[in-house]
Amino acid sequence: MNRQTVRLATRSVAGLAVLGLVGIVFPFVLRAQSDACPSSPALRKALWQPYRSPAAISVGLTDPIMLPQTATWLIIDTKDGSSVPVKSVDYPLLTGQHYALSALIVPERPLAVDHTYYLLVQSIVFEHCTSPPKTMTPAAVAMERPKNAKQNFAFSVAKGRDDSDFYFAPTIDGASGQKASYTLDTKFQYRKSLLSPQFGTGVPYRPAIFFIPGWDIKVSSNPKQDGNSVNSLVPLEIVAPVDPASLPSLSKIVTAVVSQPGFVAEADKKFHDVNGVFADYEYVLLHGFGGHNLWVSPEPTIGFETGSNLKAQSANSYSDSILRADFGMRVGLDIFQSKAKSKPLFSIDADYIRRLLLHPEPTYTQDSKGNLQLQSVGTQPRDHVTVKISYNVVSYVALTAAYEYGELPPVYTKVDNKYTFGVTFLGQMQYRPGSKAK
Amino acid sequence: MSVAADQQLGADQVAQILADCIREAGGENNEIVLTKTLQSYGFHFQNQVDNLTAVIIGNADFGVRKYGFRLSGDALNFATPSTTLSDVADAIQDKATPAP
Repeated sequence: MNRQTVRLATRSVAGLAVLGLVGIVFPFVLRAQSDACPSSPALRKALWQPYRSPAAISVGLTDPIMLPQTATWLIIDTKDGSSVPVKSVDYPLLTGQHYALSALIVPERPLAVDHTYYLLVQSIVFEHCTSPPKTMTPAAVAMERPKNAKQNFAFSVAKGRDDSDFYFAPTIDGASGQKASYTLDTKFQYRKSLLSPQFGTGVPYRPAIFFIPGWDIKVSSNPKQDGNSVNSLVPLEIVAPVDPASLPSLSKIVTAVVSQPGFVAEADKKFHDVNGVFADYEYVLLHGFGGHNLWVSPEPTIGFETGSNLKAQSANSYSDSILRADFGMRVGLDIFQSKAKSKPLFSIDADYIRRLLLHPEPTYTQDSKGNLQLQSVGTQPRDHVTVKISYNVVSYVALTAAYEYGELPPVYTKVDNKYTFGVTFLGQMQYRPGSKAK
Repeated sequence: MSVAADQQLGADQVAQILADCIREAGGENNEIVLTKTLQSYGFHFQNQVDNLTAVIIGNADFGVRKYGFRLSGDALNFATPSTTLSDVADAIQDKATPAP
């Protein structure tokens, strides 16, 4: 075991120890918090369904309710202010569960499609509450599907870089013995379905296939910023769920395999060294584990990268084609303040990858002016690890602290214990039915 | 299951789809609270969310197909770990159409 591997292993053990401490301590700290009565429960998406038997208004509830209920439901016709008599109310329990999340209100007479109705409820008691909420906003009863269900653009909050369609993150980096540097990290991607998934009892198996072109660029005033600064991506994503109907035992452990094949242009930030690579990563999605306050999501990864150098910084630094076998692990850890909170208080993302070079590739260092200096050419494994901790301040803003160590293609300039602190503003483009762009 | 062209899924059916598909996609088997995010149910990475949407769209035993409906492959593309269940529920209810 060489010195580099020992150092990495030491740091990995230290990182795991910190994660373990967090995992042990936080549940005890947070366990004292009891299940909370929802602060603002609401009715959702009241829909007149004359095609049900019997015809009924279906309405959702934001939070669970327990049975029995003695709530009073009112259907108000805004045309004349009259109330439509309610014949019966049913609260369908979710299969195998002890709670309901919807109500079916059957009126004495069918609703008129050219009238506008509102649905009110009184004295409904939500789970973990001892009394009904003081106010419940009435819900308008939809008589048909929204006409703009497939058209609207809207913004919503993304968790982080990986799940943002566009991402914009200016950061200030500091390290001992160095001046502060300024970095702009930007990303854009577009997602289009090529094949709709299908599986289960009685239907032929078909995975989901998406086309996700985009770019992924990081620029920095720091000449020693890592060399993996520019990636142009033309990837596919193949989501292959493990079908419980045909693989019941395996599906209890592995929920899906996600493949991400695609062509990648790897370049240092000055485009002095450019590789054209076809890469394919397989993410094995395992069942998560944990409890109400702590949830761990592991994802082992294997993959390969093959291609050739298109432009070399140093002559004869690539004696052969590029061929790498990769394996790694992603672990997501979420810590929740209480069951009532909609988002985790802290999130920790840890991402480790080891590239086994089957053909020799160069390793560069950077001088103080940012010029690449060839250090060696060889096939020694190249590791890279990142750990990111996010603290959600408000919906669109997160405080982040990140740690990075290792080497990334094409120039494999070592990022040696880099710490980053930043404020991240997150956004995501999406289609959202039934609402105008905000 | 045969359903008329103008039909939509009811709130009870959408809630059942969410509860079943979250479990099938490997998420935490907590009570369904629509104001919570997908991350609150253990969907920490985007490809885990992509698996959840694949189950909702494609699984004939637990997804929209169970009720004789279908969704296009792009219908839930917006979903991320920070998306609330209510947004997913809305999209299912508004975009799912009876299968021909």
